[in-house]
Amino acid sequence: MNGIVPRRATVVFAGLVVATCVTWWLGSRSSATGVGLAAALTVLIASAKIYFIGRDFMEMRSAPSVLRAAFNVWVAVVAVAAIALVVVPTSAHADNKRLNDGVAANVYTIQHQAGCTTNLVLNPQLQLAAQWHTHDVLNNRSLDGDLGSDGSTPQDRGNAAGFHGKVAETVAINPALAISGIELINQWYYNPAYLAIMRDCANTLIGVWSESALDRTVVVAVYGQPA
Amino acid sequence: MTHPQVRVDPNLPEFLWDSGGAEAAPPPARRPAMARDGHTPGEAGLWIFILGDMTLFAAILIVFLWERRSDPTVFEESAHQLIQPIGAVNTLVLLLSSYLVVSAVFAHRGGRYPQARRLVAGATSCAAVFAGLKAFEYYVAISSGHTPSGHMPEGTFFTFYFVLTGLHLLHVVVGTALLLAWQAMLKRRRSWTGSQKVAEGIASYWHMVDLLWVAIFTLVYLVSAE
Repeated sequence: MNGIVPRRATVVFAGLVVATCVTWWLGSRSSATGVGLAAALTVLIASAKIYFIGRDFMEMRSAPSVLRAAFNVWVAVVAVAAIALVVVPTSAHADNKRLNDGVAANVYTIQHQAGCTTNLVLNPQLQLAAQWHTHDVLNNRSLDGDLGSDGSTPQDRGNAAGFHGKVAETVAINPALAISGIELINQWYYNPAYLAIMRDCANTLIGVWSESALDRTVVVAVYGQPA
Repeated sequence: MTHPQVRVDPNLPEFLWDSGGAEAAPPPARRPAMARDGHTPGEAGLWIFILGDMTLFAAILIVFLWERRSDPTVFEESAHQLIQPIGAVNTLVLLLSSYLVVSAVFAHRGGRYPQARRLVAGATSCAAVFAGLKAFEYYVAISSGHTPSGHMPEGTFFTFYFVLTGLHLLHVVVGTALLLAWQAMLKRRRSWTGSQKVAEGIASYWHMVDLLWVAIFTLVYLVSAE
């Protein structure tokens, strides 16, 4: 195709093809790493592609400065917004699993300090009940404890999630994007009612869920005594 | 508009201007400024439409990402049901079509009509391949129970999927019609000076179709599946 088109356009086209393959490859790999960084990188590469499509294919290079600026602002705004929206939930998601597992481990430690010899097992029904209440408290700012927006108690939610047995619950609300495991366990340890729940050796099952908005993090642990 | 007898070169010093034509002379700063300010491909009005269209897509994509935050797991599972290789191949197909359109603009500019016509025809074929693959993708999605108004919460993802790709497909169809019109112009050997605005406008519109797909593929197919 020599002589038909300036070399620059051909180089840009080759670059766009390579970039497409790289982002595709990144996409197929990153699910294994589970890190929002790969998603951010994918968005960044795509933004660069769009910038070059504009600059060299749409001839923004030689366009009036107002038009060029409008185009570049579009690319920049979309890139920044997309990266912000992509990075926050994914990394919080990964951290949440670590936090949730950490909560269960800390409760196990507290139980054994209190003299329990029982094991503490993660339970999917209790986790589901914890997830429901986490969502509820995150989205309904007036909630600050065990009661759900529909008037449900921890026991009601445990039953609804399919758990048979006695249920207890501890809730933490932090007015920030995240909460550390230490902050969390301190909040619960120095709450006498919560400490009693955590020390109860009869609670041999647990489900934990945590979720964050920009200004609110909610962690719910639901404890169960099998019937 | 201009009077032939008052043709004044604005680059000449003011004292050399024809004094009789002073009032009709163009403002001296005007022409150099225009040259410095660059060339708008196609009609200026078209760019209001293109940037407006791009902003509409950007808004839908941002809302999509916002919704995704509330349930990344469901969005991830849904995105995994899309056929990623088709999306990727379609990206390459549209990039190729854009490159052919760039080549066609240069061929048309250089008066190489048959070559330009072949290049535009190539871009049109790419559009047909894109639409064909898209139709297959829709067929697979709908036959596995994902309709635009499917049940929550998976429905949210597929509603966005169908709205975004559907709107984009509409743009592909309009763009294809424009490419065919350009082909017809080339067949009648319409000179570059007579058809520059139209040809450049069609090319710019087609590049917009391409870049919007890059954004949709990245956010709906790739990022959501991560």
